[in-house]
Formats: sequence, structure tokens, C-alpha cells
Amino acid sequence: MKPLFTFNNSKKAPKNDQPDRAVPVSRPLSHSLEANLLELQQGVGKSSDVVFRRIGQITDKFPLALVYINGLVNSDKVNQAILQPLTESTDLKEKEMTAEAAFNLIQDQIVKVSDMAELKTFETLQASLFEGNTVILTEGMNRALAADTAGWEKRSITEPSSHGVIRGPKESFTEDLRTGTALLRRRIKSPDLRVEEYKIGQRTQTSIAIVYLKGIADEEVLAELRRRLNGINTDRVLGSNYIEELIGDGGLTPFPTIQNTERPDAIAGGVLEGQIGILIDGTPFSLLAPSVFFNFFQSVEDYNQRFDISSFLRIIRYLSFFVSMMLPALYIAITTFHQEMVPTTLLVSLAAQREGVPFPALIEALMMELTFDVLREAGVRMPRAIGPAISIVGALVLGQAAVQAGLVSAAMVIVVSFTAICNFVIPAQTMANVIRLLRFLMMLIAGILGLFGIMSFLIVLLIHMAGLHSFGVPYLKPVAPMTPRYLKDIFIRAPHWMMKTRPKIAAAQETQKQSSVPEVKPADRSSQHKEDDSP
Amino acid sequence: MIQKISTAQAAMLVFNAIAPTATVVLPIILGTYLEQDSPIGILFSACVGMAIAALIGSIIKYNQGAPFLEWIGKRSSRWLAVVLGIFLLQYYLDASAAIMREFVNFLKDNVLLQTPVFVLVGTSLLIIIYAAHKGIEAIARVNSILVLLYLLFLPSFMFGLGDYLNVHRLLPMFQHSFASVTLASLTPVAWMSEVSILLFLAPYLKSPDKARRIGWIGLLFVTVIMQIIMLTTLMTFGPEYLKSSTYPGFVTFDIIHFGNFWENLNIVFISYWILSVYMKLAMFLFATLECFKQTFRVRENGPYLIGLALIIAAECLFTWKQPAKLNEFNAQGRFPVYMLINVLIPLSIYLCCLVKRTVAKRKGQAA
Amino acid sequence: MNKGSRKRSRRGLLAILSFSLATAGMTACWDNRELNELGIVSGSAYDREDGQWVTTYQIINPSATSSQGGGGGGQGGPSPPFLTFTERGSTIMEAVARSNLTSTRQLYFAHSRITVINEKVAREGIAQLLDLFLRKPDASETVNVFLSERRAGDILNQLMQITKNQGTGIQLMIQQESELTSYYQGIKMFELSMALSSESHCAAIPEIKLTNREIINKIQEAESTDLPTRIALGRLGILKKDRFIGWMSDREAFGLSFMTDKINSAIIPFTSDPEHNEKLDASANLMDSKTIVRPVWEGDHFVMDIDVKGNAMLLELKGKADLSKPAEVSKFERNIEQNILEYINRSWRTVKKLGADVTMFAPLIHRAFPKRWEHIEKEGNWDTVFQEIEIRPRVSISIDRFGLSSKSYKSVEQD
Repeated sequence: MKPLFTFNNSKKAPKNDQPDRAVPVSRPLSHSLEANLLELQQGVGKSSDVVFRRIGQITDKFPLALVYINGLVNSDKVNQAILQPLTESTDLKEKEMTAEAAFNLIQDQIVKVSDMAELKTFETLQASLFEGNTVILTEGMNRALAADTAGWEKRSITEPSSHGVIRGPKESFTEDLRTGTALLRRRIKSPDLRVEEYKIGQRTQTSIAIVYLKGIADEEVLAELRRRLNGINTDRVLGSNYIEELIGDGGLTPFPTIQNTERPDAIAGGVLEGQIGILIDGTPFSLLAPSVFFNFFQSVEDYNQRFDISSFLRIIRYLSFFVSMMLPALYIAITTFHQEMVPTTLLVSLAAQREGVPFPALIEALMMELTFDVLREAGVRMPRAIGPAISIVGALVLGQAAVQAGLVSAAMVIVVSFTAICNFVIPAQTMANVIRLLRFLMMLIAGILGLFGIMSFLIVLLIHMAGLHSFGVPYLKPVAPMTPRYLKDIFIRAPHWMMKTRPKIAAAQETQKQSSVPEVKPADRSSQHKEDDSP
Repeated sequence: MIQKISTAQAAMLVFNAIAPTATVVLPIILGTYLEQDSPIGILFSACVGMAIAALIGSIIKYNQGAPFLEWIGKRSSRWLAVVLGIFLLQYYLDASAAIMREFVNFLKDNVLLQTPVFVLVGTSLLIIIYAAHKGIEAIARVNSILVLLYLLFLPSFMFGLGDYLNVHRLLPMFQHSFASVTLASLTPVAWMSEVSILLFLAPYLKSPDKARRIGWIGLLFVTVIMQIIMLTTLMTFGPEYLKSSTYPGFVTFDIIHFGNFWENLNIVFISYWILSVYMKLAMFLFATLECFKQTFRVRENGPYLIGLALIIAAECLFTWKQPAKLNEFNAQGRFPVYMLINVLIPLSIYLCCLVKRTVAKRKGQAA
Repeated sequence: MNKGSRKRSRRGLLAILSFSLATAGMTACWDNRELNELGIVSGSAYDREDGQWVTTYQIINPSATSSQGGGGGGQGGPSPPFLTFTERGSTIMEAVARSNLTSTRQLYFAHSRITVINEKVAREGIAQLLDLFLRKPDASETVNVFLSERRAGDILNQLMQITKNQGTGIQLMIQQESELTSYYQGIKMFELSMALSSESHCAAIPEIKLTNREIINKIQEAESTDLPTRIALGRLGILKKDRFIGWMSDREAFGLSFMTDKINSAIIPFTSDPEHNEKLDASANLMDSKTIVRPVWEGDHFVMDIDVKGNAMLLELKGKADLSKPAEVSKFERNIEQNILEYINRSWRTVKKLGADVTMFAPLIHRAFPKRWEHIEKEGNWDTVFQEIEIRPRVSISIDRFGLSSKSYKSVEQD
């Protein structure tokens, strides 16, 4: 595996170490409270949401200061667990002790927060503030305390908006990373489920968690993923696509090599197959890697429905993929190059429709496809209230009126709309978008070289895909290179009791999914049931 | 990282290294000499092909999948390897150009009558350069998918022809003398000898020990497919009609029909054939490149790949302009060249190895 | 992947993009033909007049044929479903080329269904025509071939009812004829060339004709229920070595169908009671029939053993009959067999008279007696050998279904 990025200039470490990448030189805290506060204030400027709260200024014994960011902390918690104990502590007010002893007292007894940490530099102090911690600075100490008081407004868990299912869990990830890891923990209650956190983006300092099952996920893939995550050099991560593009394989390939989903059950399913989940703070969309071509045609729904209907639906998806990619191109190729293929009656009615259409089939198709994409984009961007208007305009103006006006032929409208509908069948949006682009190239080449052109384009695509890898896993695995026994969950979905082993696609080894020892086949199950009934 | 291909993939590569063009060229050559006895000719040449495959396999097993020319260079003299390399390079360039020309001729005759030749050559050239650039792993993978598609095309082919097949057209059998069977089999044997492309795929084999089996399985499939095409053609049209057609392997496609509404489906089958020819071309370009790299001891591909491809294109465009010339070469000129390169050279190398080994053994015993 | 190769692949992508955009402009040349530039030929006819080829092409008129009627159209009166062009030329393709002088469309032959050849053309030989059809990539080898005694072009001008597309209509006619009646089979261009290039060098082509002199070629005339002139299938024309040599009547052709195992389903009339009544008064439907022809060498000539086996279903019956009696049924069976034998013998006499091996005995003899065939071929005396052939037909028909009534109506009436 060749490294994707070689311009790695700073090493990054997991969370609890010092996130000091932005400024290489670290500035230690001084012993003076005032000096520290001044320095901090200069650091954040006059940001109105940073709160500096001084305590003990009157007694002058142990002047302290609390620093936190309003909105990021739970103010009830700050009041009850920090402010109140500190102000009411008699020990702190009356006892004579060194600054060191007072510091320890605060840390050990007074502050009633579960997660506390000691900070020594301004950089860690700032980072800690931005995570919602409350920082306690004391006079005479060159260390500070950070108490976890994070608590900001969060969206509650809702139904997934982009990957709906009929029968299956209705939870989706939220923008909060912790909620995400919790949702996963609740699904996989195994000590092997590991969560590793990274901070990525010099300015955004976005938390990213990779989630995998130790012993099932491939260690080589893991190492490669860690290397690529550490190699990211960007100042922002605002969504999952930032990560996807920065660590994905293949350079300029149109094909996605990483899946995304907002469904925790999809991530859990992938993790159980040996994939690695990547959760990103600030977006409900999480990533799954490594992903092969066929992963993009699997949907969680497949596993929540009976195998027969799931298999049927899956075949339909593959068909739709090809139809959506090739139908307009095939239409062009067949009606302008290979008219002999079309049944005579159909050819005659196609010819009748084309009478009076001014443009060649290629231009006609390009025009209609572009119009459709414009409509689709408009539909997405429109405020919801105007949405129906768009569909009426689209359907009436482009469907009916364009045909009647003799601008396009009716057959072309059918081709374009069927293509569009097929595009929506593919469960993974990223894969569906690939086709939207390839379709145009394919139409062009079909208009120039006919079926020969289409075939040439297909073989280029195939070669491209065969040469593509996702984190070292061949993109067309397990079809090419072929492993027949891994095909149980590719074109069809075999019944759960038949899929006893975990295919070695993303996983490191082929391991058991179901213990094979007390094997009860469906036939046996029913016979046992009968025996129970008979007496 | 060196790319590796599995035994099954390699067998499929061997299959597609022979089958696509053989199905175009062989039926007419066989049919002219042997008429309804052509299937026997195919069987006969398959047997010879198997022997050649065994020879090639033995060499690969002997050198444990070492790069062929480098291995020769090491075992004998550096200069012998270079001379041999130039020889082979010339052969592969020539063969690639001839394949390309056949492909383009076929397209010009059947599919794109008006499209200029250079566009067809250019398009296919770009594709095979891309494939060869991606490496043998990608080629092998795509190739395996294509071979699996036979499962789809073969039944529909047979089903579409159902009405027309008549076994009696194969009678009377064994009407031709053994001499004419041998004569007719010369060209098919030349095609079968293309199994020697394995010599250049050897460094990429996961298990070079199985090279012999790879060759055999590949040739077996070639024989089966050739036999199916030959038999269906004979059974639908009979030997007389076959002789008058330029592409007897494809005439059956013209009459395939499903019901009354779907006729003239030849383009569908031709499209599939186009895909497999691309694979063959890509493989040959890859072998040419390998040969070049081993001869002149270069490591990187980039510029040489394009250069070699351009040479092939030029030869294809200018040397084989006359279809008649190419047909004549196919029928007669090919045999000696192919035999020399694919059989005699490997055979002599193998014999040398045997002699050396026995000498070494004797020495060992003597000591 | 490093930065360098990324850059390179980006340049590659740009090159591909600009190439495809540039070529998009060039579209509409090369092999690309828009549908509305094509004249879809549904049938062609070949005549010879004054030493020149006269070719007639029938082009489908899409907006009149399709149910939808097209976007722009909407002209007043109804337009005919097809149009014909007649051109002359010293070669066939010259005539085709000349059609571009009058037609707005480029002729497109791949969907052509029928080819009608004038008898006179066929007498002079159709080698040129066959060569054209097998050579030209867009000509389909699967067109049905017909012979016509009158000007072949006239056939293509005749309108058909129900089926608007005349070529398809005629194709359906011949298909149904061979499925249900089996007097003769339609023959496609490649089958014709196969038959003519086989050992026997003979072929049979059905005749197509108009039932009356005048041609119905105006759409208004075609609006009556019983057209004065219709297209009909007629006799069977026999070709030997690409030349027409004579006709066989449909009855004679029927016997030929039995000899060459081409019967799919046929109606056989027979006499139910030959002792009292010579008239044909009953008929049976031959549901399936199998013919096996075996050549036998009998010292100085070949004898062809022709075995016909078939199952029939009784369809109509005039006389008295009780079908529950096996004797009665086997009497019918024998009568049917007798009739079929009669067909075969009559047909064989005609075939012998014509001296054309449309029975396809030559390949059979070649397969069964390769050595003797080599001898015949060397001597070149197949024609005399053929004249000496004797046929030995045996027919066995069993009636295994009687329809819905077990007695004839007459028997019921008398009971």
C-alpha cells in the first residue's frame, strides 16, 4: 500500500496528551494567578462568552479563579459542583496551608466533578476550555485544574432522515460524538469493541473516534487508517466528507471507497464484519472503511427482512445501477447506430416519435438529462413549502409540454425518467452520484462510437475498479478476485443461518459468526417443534 | 509491492489470450480444409497445444517463476538473453499488431463501417495502455469477470439458435484423411501455442508450480468454446455455407432470434467479443512490456509503455493494411514463426536445462 | 499515490474531457444515423426489364403506421402506411443508389422482411442477388424470399388489411401457413443459399401473388371489408443451381413436405367409407408427424425408405361411424395413410419430372454412403443417379383423439 499523503509535518497524539500542534512552543503557567489570567485573557481576546470568575479575593488567603465558556458548560453543574463547594468550604477559608496543599484539597475533596485533570500549559488550558471544561486557577500554583462540566444544547436522537427503513431500528446518530459511541456500545456489548479518539483540524479541533472490534478488524487496515488520520493536515473538519476525501484511496476516482451512514445499526453491522467505523463530532454521518463496491448495494434493510425478498431487492438494485448508468447511452447507441436490434414495430413507433424532433438523439438526451439534474438540484435547495410546485412544473413542463411542442420525443422522456428513478434505488447516495456523472460521459461516447464506445467505456471502468483498493482491500472483492463462498451476501442475501462464517473481505480472518457445533437447521427446528406438540 | 494472480485467474488469462481471435480466424481455416470434420481438427490441435502447455509449464516450474529473460541471462550469457529478448519482443509486437488489425478489420466489416481506422485503433490503444498501466492484477480480475459472463452468453446463444441446430449436418464423419487433418491443424496449433505467454506471466503467479495445470485448464476451455462455436456453426449452416463466409464464427449470431420480435442480435454478442479482445490485447501489450523490461533491464513502465503501444499502432495501421495479406499470414505465415518462438525456443531451453541437470547430478554422484 | 501522479492523472482527465467534447461536435458523421433520416425498408422486389434491374423498395411510413402519429404531424387525410420507390439500374446497388435521387430517406435494409423475385429474374439466375444479401453488412439474411409470376414490384404496392406493415404481414402469413397447414415452408435468404450450396443444389421458394389484376394501392380503396384483390400464397417454385426451373402445385408441395419432414400440423381430407362413396367427406388434423428417410443401395440404384409416422385428431365426419369401435377407427387411419401416400407419390413424380432434388436426397446419400457419393461427385452424374432413385414410402397414422363427440352426428341422428 502506497501512502496517500506523505507531507506529514506534525505528529498527533490521542486526546489526553497535549494537543499542541498549532503552536510548537508550549508556554507554561506561571505561579501568579493574575499573570495567568492576564495571559489567558490576551489569548482569547475579548470574546464575550468566556467567563472569568474570581473567588476568595476578600479573604485574600487563597485567591482562585474559575474560567469557563458560557454555553459550553452546564451552568447548574458549575454552580453546584464547583462554585458552591469552593465558596462554602471552611477549610479553604480558615486553615493555614501551602498553595500546594490547597490545590490538592480542591482537587481531592472540594470540587465534586467526576472527571478532573491537571493542566500545566496555556495551550492545554485553552483546549480544555473549548471542550466545555471549567478551569480552576489558584494563586501560587503553576498548575491548573480542569473539571469536566461540559453540557451544551444537543439535538435529541431522531429517526434517520436519509436512510429510512421499514422494519428496523429508528435511531440515528446525532451531531454529538459521545451519543454516537454510546449508541454503538449499546449495540455491541463486547469488551473487544474499541474506541480510539483523535483530534483533527488545527483550528476546529474536531474529535473523531474510530470504532472497531479487536481481533476481527484487520490490524494492517487499522494501522493504515491510523497512519492516514495522523497524516491529515487541515485546519478544519466540518463534516464527514472532509475526512472521507482526505483519507480515501484512489486519487481522482469517481467511486467512493468509504461508506457513510447516519444509522448506528449500519455501523454496528459493518464493525461486526470487520470494518472500522469512523465517528465524527459535529455530524450525524459516520464512515465505514474499508468498503468494497458491493457494500454500497447492501442496505441494513436487507438483514431486517426475509432473505428471499432481500435477495430479490438486491438484484433489482444492481439492475437499476446498470440501467441508470447505461440506459440513455444504450438508447442513443441503439437508435442511431444499431437500429437493426430494435423490434420492427418498436422501431417504427420510435421513428414516428422522432419525426419533427429537431435535434439529434445525443443532443436531445443530453438536454433532457441536464434538465433533470437541474430540477433535482432545485428540489433539494427549494424551501419545503415550494417543493410541490417544482415537481408540478417539472412533470408538466418537461414531460407533457416538451413532447407536445416537438422539442423531445416521448420515448426520450421515458428513458430519462426511468433512468432517474433507477438512480434512487441505489441505497448509497455516494454510489448513485457516481453514475450521475458517468452517465454523461457514456452518452457522449455512445453518440460517437455506438455500442463499441459503450463497451470500451465499460471495460475502462472495469479496469479502473479492478485496480482500485480501499485500504488495501481490492475494490471488487469477492467477485474479482473471486472467492465463491463469500458471495453469500453479495448479489443475494443468504438466510442468516447459512452465513456461518465472516467473509474475509474487510475482516482479517475468516472467523465464525455462528458456532457450528449445535447446529439446528430450519428443517430440524420444525421437526422438534412437532415433537413437542405431539404428546 | 509485486502483484500476484491466482491459478484460476491465470488459467482464465490463458483462455482469453487465445480464444477471442481464434474464434474469428480458425473456423474458416479449419472449415476450408476439413468441412464437417473440423471438430476433429480442433481436438487434434488441442492435444498438441496441451503438450506445448506442458513444456512451458515445466520451464516455469524449473525456474520457479523467475523473470524469463533475466533467468536465461543468469544461467547462460547476458548477450544470449538480449538477443533472445529482441527476438521475442519483435514477435510480441508483431502478434499484438496483427491482433489489433484483426480486431479493427472485424469492427470495420461488421459494426462501424464508416468510422476511420485510426479512431478505432486510437480508442483501443488508449484502453489497453490504461489496462497495462494498471498491471496484471487488474487485467486478471477484469478478465475473470468476463470469462464468468460466458455463463450468461453461452446459454442465450444456444437458446437463440435452438430452431436451427441439425446434428445430421455433421455427417459423414472421418471423411478426411489424417494428412489433411494434420495440415488443417497446423494453424490452430499455432494459435494454441500462444499459451507461451505464460512465460511472461510467470513472475506474477502465486504458485508457479502449477503453471502446467494453468496451461492445461486454459487450453481445455479454449477447446470447449471453439468446439461449441464450430459445432453450432456446422450444425446450423453445414460445411458448404461456412466456407463462403468471411467470419464463419460469427454468422450464427446473425440468425439468433428470440421469438418474432427480437432479431439481429449479433451486435450484443459482438460487444461481448469486443470486451474479450480488449483483454487479449491488454495481455499482449503487458507481455510486450515485460519482454522489453527484461531485455533492457529497465524498471519503470511509463514512457516505454506508450512507446511500445505506438509501435504496435503504427505496425497495425501500415503493415497490415490489406486484409488479404493478413488472411494469408494467418493461414500460412503464422505457423513457422509461432512454432519457433512458442515451441522450439522453449523446447531447446528446456532440453538444455535437462542436460545441465543430469550433468550436475552425475558430477554430484561422481563426487 | 503521490502528488506527482495525481497531477498527471488530472492532466489525463482533462485530456479525455476535452477529447470527448471535441468529438461530440463531430457526431452526426461516421456511422451515426438518426432515425428520422432512415427509410426503413420492409420489403424489396426485383424485376428485370430491358436488361436492367428494376428494384422496388417498400418503405414504412412511420407516422401513419405507429398508433401515436408523431409529434409534429397532424395532416388532413390519412397517409398510406408504406411508400414504394421503383428504380432502374444496371446493377442492383446502382438502382439502390439511384433511389436517393427521389427519396428523402436513406434506405435501411436491416428490418426488411420479404424479398419478392420475379420469375423471369429467377430463370436467369439469382446468384448476384444472393451474393448481395450475404455480403452487405446491413442486409439481413433472415428475409423471407418469394417468387412472383407477375411484376414483383406490384406485390409491394398492394395494401393489406389489419396489418399495416405489409412485410411483417406477409411474413406472418407464411409462418402461419407452415405452422397450421404445412403445404410448404417459407424460406429465408440464408436458408436459400444453404440449400443451393448443399449437395443437391436445389431449393424451393413459395410463390406470392395477387388474386386479381388490379392493385389496391389507395388507402380509400382498402376500406371495404372484402377486398377485390388480396395478397395470396400460391405455388412452390423450384430452383436448381440458382435458376428457376418450374412450379409445383400446392398439393404436390404438400407431398414434398411429407418427404422432407416439414409437417408441423396439417389438415388431411379423406373418404370415411371408400367402399360406398369415393368422395372426400371427412378430415383429420395431423397433429404431429415425423418422417425418416433412409437411403438404401440396391445393386444399381438407390431406394429411399420414407417412413412417415403421425398422430391425428378427427375433425369432421359425414357418414355413419361409431368411434368406440377400434375397427372403425383403424379403417379411417388406413384411408388417411392412403391419401398421404397419394400426395407423396404425386409429388415424387413431379420432382422427378423437374429433375431437381428438392427432396434433399443428395445430402442423405452423402452422409450414408460417403464413398459412393465421392464417386458420384467425381463422375458428375448425380442427375442420372437421381432419376433412377426409387422411393418406398410407408405411412402409419394413428388417430388418437376424436374431439368432443364419440359418434358421428349421422349415427346419432339415426339412433
